[in-house]
Amino acid sequence: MRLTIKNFRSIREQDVELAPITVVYGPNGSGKSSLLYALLTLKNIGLNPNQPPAGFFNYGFASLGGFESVVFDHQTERSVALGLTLERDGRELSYKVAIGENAGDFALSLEKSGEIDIKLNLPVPFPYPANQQAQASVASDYGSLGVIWNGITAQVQAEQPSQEAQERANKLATYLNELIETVRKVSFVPLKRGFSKPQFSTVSISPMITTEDEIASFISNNNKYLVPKISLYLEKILERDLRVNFTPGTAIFSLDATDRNSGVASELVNEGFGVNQIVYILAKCLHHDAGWVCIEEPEIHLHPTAVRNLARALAQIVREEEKQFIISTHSESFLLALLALVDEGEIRPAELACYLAHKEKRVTRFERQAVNEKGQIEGGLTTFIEGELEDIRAFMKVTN
Amino acid sequence: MASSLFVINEWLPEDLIGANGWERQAESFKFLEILRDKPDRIAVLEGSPWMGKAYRLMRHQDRIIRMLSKYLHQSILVDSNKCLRLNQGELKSLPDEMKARSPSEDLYLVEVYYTAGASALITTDQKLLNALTTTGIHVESRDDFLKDYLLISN
Repeated sequence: MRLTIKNFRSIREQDVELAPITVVYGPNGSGKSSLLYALLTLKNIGLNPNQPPAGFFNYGFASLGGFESVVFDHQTERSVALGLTLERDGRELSYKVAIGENAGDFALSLEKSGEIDIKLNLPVPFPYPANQQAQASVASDYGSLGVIWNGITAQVQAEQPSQEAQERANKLATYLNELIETVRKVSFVPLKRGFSKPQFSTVSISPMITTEDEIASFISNNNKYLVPKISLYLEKILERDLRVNFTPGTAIFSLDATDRNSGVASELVNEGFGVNQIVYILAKCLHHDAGWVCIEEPEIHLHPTAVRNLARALAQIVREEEKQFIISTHSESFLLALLALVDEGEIRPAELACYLAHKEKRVTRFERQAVNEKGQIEGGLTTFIEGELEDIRAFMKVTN
Repeated sequence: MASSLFVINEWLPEDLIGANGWERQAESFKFLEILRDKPDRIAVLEGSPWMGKAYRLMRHQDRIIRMLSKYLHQSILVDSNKCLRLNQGELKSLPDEMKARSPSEDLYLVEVYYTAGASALITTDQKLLNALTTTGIHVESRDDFLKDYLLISN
């Protein structure tokens, strides 16, 4: 799947191929987070286009400001354009949204072998209550199929009704809606994460599921199925398990971790922040409704050994839970652990996309570094040791 | 720009760890920096004594040696543009004469050279140098090689 980003923050125009594990790294302020925020913006639009553009850039845990703050170079005559393209079986399905100051465009296209099957374009004002329609007709073996699309969801009807024709129509509708469904299943783990309270009571859960109360409620609501899974991975990463303990006769509960070596249990808030935040990360990763999970710097507050364990756990989640990750990181330990998994044959090179983010004249570039089957990466990882290299050069100069 | 592929014997990790003095340590660091800037590569064998010495370098406690080892690892060994990593199963059998002339402890270096189609084998081992001179292998002493290689960059 390819993510297209245009005029979004410091990104002028970039196509980024996403893999089951996509990792972006580079200096502070190079635009790594913008890659993750682009997907989250698409999700916001998919969930609720009926809001001013500033609402699309408000993620709950952070707001990027209004359109002027977000558009490249603050030039409001430009449009922020975000899109996804999926290539499969010789077909290319593309979903794009262009956001202007007060209006925008939705576009959906389906091409096969270079020939356009469907091309829909819908100019809309923002806020947009999803009340407009673009239509197309597609030929099939069972007669024409009529496509009606409101910029978010497509419906397909057989124009000459028959069971086969309707089945074909349903199949096409599922296919056309695949990208918007993917977008809706984007989950985000922000830098501000973890649990700061010893006890929780159940709250209602929003689609973005961000606050610690929401995460805690989600965990306690899914005590039977989710908690054992979180424990499984928590044990691999930090040798702890997770339990939800309810206060009898109340709706109050605590999230407790038990050290598997000592048997000592304590509330998450009383664990180090490393353990605390990993529970938050795992809850979001293992959420049944999460498909693509964006994680900002998962390594923070973790010992390098735990960082390595985390990388291995995430790779296992990709394999066994069919999740995909887009991860920003400053940790070479994290990246080296993933490369080691490629060398071990646990991850195929194509399943790991590595991008070095850097800025050229204020413009963000994501440079893909190809990974080979031996876990080597084209261009190496010098970016992580530039500062230390300066120290070595200085040292060598002194000794000379 | 033409690129070269070198097989380096164990002087590189030994120099970097400081076993041969600071001057050689600095020269070897400079070699890595030039290697990084040029389109050249080195070839290594997984699980070889060379890799064992590189691993020991990475476990060293000294701050500068740790930094040098990180540089060797992250900028050279992990970089597919800079390092050709071979495993035992990939090594080609040497021609009989070449095999017969190669000292047993250095046989893997010659096998890597032959398999990778390397440009030169760079060694500090006079015995190896003497043994291979007439085998068609381009073998050079570390000092002669670095004299030219480090000079080119200046």
